[in-house]
Amino acid sequence: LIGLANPAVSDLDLAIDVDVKTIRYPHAGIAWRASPRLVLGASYRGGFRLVIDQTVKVRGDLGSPDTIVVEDGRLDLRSISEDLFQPAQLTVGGAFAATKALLVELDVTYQRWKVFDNPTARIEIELDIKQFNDLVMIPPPRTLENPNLRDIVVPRLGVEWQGAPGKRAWTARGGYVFEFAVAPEQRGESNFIDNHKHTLALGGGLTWASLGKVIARPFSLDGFVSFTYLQPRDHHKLSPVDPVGDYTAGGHAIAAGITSRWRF
Amino acid sequence: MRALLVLALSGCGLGWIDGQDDLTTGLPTSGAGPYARLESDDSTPASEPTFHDDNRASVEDPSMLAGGPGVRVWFTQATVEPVTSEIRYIEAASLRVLPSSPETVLTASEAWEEGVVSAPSVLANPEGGLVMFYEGGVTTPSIGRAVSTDGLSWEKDPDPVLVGATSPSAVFAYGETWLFATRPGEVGIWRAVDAGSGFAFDAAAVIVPRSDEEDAFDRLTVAEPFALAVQTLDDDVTRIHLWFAGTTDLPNDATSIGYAASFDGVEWLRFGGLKPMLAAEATAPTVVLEAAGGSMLFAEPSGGASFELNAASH
Repeated sequence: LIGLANPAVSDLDLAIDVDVKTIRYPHAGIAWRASPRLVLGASYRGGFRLVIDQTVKVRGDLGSPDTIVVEDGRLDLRSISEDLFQPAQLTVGGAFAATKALLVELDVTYQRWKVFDNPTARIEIELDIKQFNDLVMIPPPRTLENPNLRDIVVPRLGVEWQGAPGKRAWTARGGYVFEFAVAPEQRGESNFIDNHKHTLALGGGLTWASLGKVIARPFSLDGFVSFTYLQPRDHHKLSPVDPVGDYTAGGHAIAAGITSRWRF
Repeated sequence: MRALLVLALSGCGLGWIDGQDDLTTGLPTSGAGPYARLESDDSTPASEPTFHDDNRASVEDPSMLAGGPGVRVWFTQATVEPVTSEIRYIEAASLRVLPSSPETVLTASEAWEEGVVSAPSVLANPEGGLVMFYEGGVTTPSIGRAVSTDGLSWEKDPDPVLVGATSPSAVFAYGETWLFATRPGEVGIWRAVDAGSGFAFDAAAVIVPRSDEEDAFDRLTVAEPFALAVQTLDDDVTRIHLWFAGTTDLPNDATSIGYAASFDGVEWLRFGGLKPMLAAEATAPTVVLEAAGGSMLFAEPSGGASFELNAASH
């Protein structure tokens, strides 16, 4: 029973059906030592999207415990949204040992952003309340703007300086990445804000031949810090009544991390 | 006679749905709307949301600028017996902080004003200082102009700048002065343009009631315009904001505040569909835009034919 005038008298049984599906995508890579000083490589990471599909179904008679006004009423509300997206990425690159101590690396990654869909929830509503159907007008689902993202090629340049080998060897690293904005200028209703991104990174590491008798094999500890600058970008709106209006987007992000390597 | 000021701060929340965070705080916005009345502040001993200094007068037609301690407001103060109408001024740190007393800054002195000045529209003068456009006159309401360096002492032009107009709101755009006003006997909100040789009305009103839309908040009348000119990121494009009062009689008599905008002053679009930006009862808006929101002062009925000022935010 669904209380029509008084929701408190509703008496509904609850059932939940959840189906969580695994998302699988491929990873593959290959490296080829073309010469003693040059290593070439390629890798592929598959794309995926996490879609959340939720439906709420309400079935019941409408009215009060004493009087049923509508028998077998029905409300179906479905929401489909894209919660996470990873573009497919194909990378080719090489590492060239300029000297015994200096390694120079360059790679380029093709990122498949074009297939990104508008992640906003798509809502579908179906209502059947029999003789009262004509009194309810459910608007059609809103048409979502295509984000029109573009595929990009991301270059990465890195250098690594290898200190003298020994009981405690050190390594210093630096790198630069440039990423084109994947989203176009936002001139309509949507606001997929994206910028050209310049990232500078510095890092280094230490490798110990061993850590006493317990860790007899080499042990490495590496760290990095990176600074990403989002190049300021203007967005000019076409409509004079755009609720957001023109704006400039920019910013920066700082990241840092530590990794350890254990040989066994 | 003691002065009167009523600044009502009645409550509700931000966003389309009162009391629910719409997660837009801090995000960029044009400030078009929607607006919601400010929540009352229970931490103060005052009998908010209203402040009374005199209950015999009506406070109407606010015009607000950012400045001074926070905001500067010019408004009409009118009484019925005796018939008076003058323009007064207050400063406030914010719309929640009530001023101690208003100051009279403009009274009728010219013959054409016929003892009445009202409906100030104050904005920064491109030549420096401030400029005020105001309504005067009874038999033939007209728009006068005055300039000031401090907002308190005003020097009037001897003659009206536009005859046969009421409720002015002015902007400077594209090297011209645009006056938005209503006209006695004419439907809609009109624009008059002064490109250097005096004001002249456009051939048609810029905003008219949507009489064929039963659910429109402005199906009967549109009036009380407030315009703002905001430079876009293009140096040669200005966005003209226009808030205005609209009335309907369906399902009940109601006056609320809507919004339209234009880039050229000729082609206008409304925002919000048939809905107002601020729910009834509200009229005579004035807005100060902020980086991520907007503050609105407006007039609302306080009983009988009188009005008081109230505040809302976006």
